[in-house]
Amino acid sequence: MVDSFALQVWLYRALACVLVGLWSFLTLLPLGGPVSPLPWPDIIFCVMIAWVVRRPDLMPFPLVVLLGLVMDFLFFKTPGAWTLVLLISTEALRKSTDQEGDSGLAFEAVAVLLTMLGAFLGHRAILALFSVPQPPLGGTLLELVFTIVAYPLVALVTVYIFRIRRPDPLETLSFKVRA
Amino acid sequence: MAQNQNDHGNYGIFVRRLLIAVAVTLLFALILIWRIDNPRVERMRAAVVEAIVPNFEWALVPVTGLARMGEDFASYARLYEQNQQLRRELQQMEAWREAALQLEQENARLLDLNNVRLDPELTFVTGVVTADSGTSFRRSVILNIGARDSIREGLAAMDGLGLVGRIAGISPTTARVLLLTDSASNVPVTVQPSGQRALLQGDNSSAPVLEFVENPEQVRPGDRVVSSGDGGVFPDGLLVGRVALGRDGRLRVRLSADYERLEFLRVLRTTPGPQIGEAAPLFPPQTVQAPVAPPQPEPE
Repeated sequence: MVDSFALQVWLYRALACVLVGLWSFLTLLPLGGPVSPLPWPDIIFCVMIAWVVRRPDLMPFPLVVLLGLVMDFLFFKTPGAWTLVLLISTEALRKSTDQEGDSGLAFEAVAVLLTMLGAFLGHRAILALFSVPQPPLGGTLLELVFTIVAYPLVALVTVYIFRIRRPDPLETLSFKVRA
Repeated sequence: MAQNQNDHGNYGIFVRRLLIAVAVTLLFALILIWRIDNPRVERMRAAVVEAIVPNFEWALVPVTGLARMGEDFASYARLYEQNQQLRRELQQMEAWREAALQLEQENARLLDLNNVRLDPELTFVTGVVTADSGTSFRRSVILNIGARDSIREGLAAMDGLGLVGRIAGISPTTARVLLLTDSASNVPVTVQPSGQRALLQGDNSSAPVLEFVENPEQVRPGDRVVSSGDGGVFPDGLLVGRVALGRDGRLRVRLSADYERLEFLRVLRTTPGPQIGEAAPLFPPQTVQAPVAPPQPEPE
């Protein structure tokens, strides 16, 4: 019983790696195309947040750091900056969901909104701290808005396709007993 | 919910917090090192890219091929329209071809007269674009040629039509080309008929901005923009594009290179010209008294 539970956790962690790989693959396709002025939402950020809010054990912080670093390196971003933001925002959400225990949809919406806002501003702050040249603010804000809009869709996919849900209090208790 | 920690009690939570603090510190250190010793971290990045991108290649190639076939198929729908357009263009081109032939002959004659030797140190190597790297805010592509093809950082990359970007980031078998549209791209250029020097700055739009034009009144939309050899970034005279007036009223450059289809890129292997440091070596000791030439007007 313990084995199957552990197996499930590791399968979900592998799934996270596969999702990042798939996203990188789609981004890397050399189709070029016209330069679109609209940025893409940061889907991986949404996925990490949606998982951490529901099942923090599926997205442990070393995995966040590893995936963040690989993407930073692969997409020629400032290495470490976005990873740092990912780490801090997932930890903040993890902590708040831990404390609140049984938290509703409204709480999640507010928490995620604030976290994303903090993450994008924090990212710019870190880059400014190290005086890295930055893209214009308008583009970042647009990306933030798109990411916020994309989050509910990612959360729906997380719940109904990946079947990642908040465990019931009773179940949590049984996890604790088992672990 | 963190059941792994709960059974270890406070000790586990403490260790976890410590580890997170260590991770945060290390990430900060990584950014700092990247800021201070950029080449080392960029080499590390090149190693990561080299480890990952070739693994994708087997899947990238067929998917890209399929998508391009789809694009081609979509263009069949507009076949008639395109045919008409091509006919019109062909007529114009006939006239241009005649002009070009005459100019070529004239040019050859003039070169012969002046005994000009073209730079023999300009060779090129052509690579295939294997991946479109970058995010919404970084514009770069990855080529399948690298240091083993004697490519260096900073070389110019062109497609058949015009300048595309410069090499930034290199590993033994891959190289990254920073496109002119990237916001980190700054290239010194000359606007052709007036000879105005300017700086071409990418801003993530498809048409980079012309900055620091000496005399903006002398620059008109439609003027040719070529690279100037200033600062030793590129060899001079590579075609970049044509000046256009952007909607925001700034001078922009419509790039000649076909950015929608970057498939093959030509990397120009140049050797840096001799650096002139002091005045003395410019005037070697003269052994033979040269005949005094009549004063000539300065060539433009």
